[in-house]
Amino acid sequence: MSLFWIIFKREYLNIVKKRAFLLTTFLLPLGFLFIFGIELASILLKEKEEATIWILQEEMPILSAAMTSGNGISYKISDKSLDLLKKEIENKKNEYILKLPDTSLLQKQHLSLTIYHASGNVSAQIQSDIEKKITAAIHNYKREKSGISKQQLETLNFKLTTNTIKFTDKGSQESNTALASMIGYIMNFLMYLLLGIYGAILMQSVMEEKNNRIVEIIIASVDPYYLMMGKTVAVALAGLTQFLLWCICSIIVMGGATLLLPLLLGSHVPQPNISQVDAAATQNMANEVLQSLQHFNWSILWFFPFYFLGGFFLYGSLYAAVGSIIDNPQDAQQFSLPITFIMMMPLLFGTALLNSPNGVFATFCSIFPLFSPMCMMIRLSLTEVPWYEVVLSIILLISSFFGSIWVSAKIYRIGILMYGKKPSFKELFRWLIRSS
Amino acid sequence: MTDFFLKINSVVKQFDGHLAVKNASLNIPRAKIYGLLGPNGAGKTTIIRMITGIIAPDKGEIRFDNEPLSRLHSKRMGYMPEERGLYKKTKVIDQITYLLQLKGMKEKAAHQTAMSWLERLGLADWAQKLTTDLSKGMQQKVQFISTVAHEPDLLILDEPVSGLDPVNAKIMENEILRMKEKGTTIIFSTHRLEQVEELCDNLALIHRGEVLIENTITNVRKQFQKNQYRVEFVGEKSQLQHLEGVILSDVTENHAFLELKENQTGKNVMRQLTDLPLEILKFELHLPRLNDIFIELVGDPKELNKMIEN
Repeated sequence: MSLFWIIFKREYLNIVKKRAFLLTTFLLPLGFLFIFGIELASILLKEKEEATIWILQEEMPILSAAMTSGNGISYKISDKSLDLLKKEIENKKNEYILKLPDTSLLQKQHLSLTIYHASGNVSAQIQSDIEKKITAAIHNYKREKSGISKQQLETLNFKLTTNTIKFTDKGSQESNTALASMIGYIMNFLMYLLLGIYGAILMQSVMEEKNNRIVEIIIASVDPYYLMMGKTVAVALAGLTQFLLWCICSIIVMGGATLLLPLLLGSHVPQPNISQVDAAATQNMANEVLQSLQHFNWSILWFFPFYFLGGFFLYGSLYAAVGSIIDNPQDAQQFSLPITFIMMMPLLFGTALLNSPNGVFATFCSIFPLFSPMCMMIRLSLTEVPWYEVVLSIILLISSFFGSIWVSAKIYRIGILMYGKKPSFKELFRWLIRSS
Repeated sequence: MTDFFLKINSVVKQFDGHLAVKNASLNIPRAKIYGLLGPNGAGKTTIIRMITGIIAPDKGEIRFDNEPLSRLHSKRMGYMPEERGLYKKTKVIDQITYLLQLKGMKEKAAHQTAMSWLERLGLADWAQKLTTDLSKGMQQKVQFISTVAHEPDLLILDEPVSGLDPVNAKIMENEILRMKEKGTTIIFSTHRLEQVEELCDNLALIHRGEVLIENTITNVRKQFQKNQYRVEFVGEKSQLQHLEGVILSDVTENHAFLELKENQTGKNVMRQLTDLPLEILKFELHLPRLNDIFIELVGDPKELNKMIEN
């Protein structure tokens, strides 16, 4: 057993002390933040576009009257013919010709307008500006035709929002399904990512030892089973270390965000392209998100290490077995593909679980050991999972990782001493049934 | 009776329908260098792997220092496989310390021992370097240190000096002899006959999974000697024709081989020689070289060439 610890210590430090480990630990969250920041910035900082739009004169100027200039877009009415205008703007950027719908057709349900342009594309911003204004004008026109006053219409207007409130013995709590879904999705993805990354690290490390031939020296001192387990446990705990560091980073970042976000959004108001109302709404939303984040039942995070370790012993030991039968990285792909594929499946049907976390399918997936590490985390994020289902899934996970370790150890024992020849699946099966 | 440190009794090992070792028995005496000879694929590595406990024999028994071999004995062994292996991206000192720890040494002691060995073999300055920064000869030394520094009772060296330059090979040979002086039993696997003649006390020839011969080097030679004498002389070589009861071969201006016919004795031939008008410089029993023995044993000279070339 002491040999196990010597191996464990070396393997663990070997991963944790590597530069790559530190990089992924700190760069990955930063990368996520960066992407998130860019998204946010692109929403907040809409760039103003300068454009001149020539409106062809119409018989009844109902629509052209509604086209008011503003936000860099200026509308001008021209009495020239379409062909003449086309020639005029031929070499000009940011100039467009707008042909309004025929007003005789205004009673129809569907109308179309046409924008002519000589160069580039018509930006979504310009299109939506035009569409918004015309829709409003037609709306107004139709309303007046039908003899409905503005006040009457306003009484018809109606907006519905849903509040979900979770009541427990500790009192009611506002819950946020969208947020819970997002967390569930992140958990699912993170589990897959960690299992995949650390599985690959383990496979690589086994393959290296085999190709270095050092494995023969080591197993002359230690039973191959202890070597494999020492490595597997070390890599698993390195993965867990990374998860914990990520958690700590997130807490720091979230704490920072709680303090900084209101300040940031508050200072944002003077920006000319966001109206006061918009800014207030954004701030409200941000506060709401922050509040829901605080209300979220974070204790489910305690399950992550258990499911990760269970999942890692299950999948990781198989990766170790694959590492032991291959000689080069090209074969690694081919042999690890079946494992990766099974592991990826919860990512593919994750949305189904997010939509009905209490359904039969979701329940099955969260108990079935090959999927439970990912799927149970989704369900735990979204819903109250009965304790017996959690216990059952953990028992099944543990018993199946023992099975997987048994299979892997048999393959590993023989694989690490085989060189030059890749075993077929038939041979692998023979290794399994052979008595040790 | 000889004190055997390791006894291998009728061991059989089969791999996927291929019989790698057929009923092999070896007796390895204590504190001797034991040469395990045979062409590649003869079963040497399989036998060694069974001794180190990496694989278990299908049949037969191995006894280590009068006890049935078990995993516990691995701490008393040092094993250097033919295909050398070290972690590439690990510091030399950490590497040796780790491997010594796996042999049961405490971390601190392992570190100290490793350092003193590195100093002795002139590698102290390289202790903090990565293995990849070392030359091949230096890597071999590092490998050797991690094999022997825990002072094993049984040392198994698979092709220990292959790929080494003559200077380093000599250093290694001296270290091996030093270990023997200290009482270590050494198994030395090779396909190079001259190394066996130079270093080993005993030898076994393995061929196609079977032990063809096993004995001390001297006995093997005796066993295969053909009652042949070699004489060195000054004088007229035709005088040798007068000898009775011998068959002459390889006669040159100053030496000749004499094979004695039945009932003839060396003493008698010597008396005849002194009566001849020749000055006799030397008269000795000719022991065959291992080379000759193997040609005789294996029969096919091609097999032997393969053995030597590999």
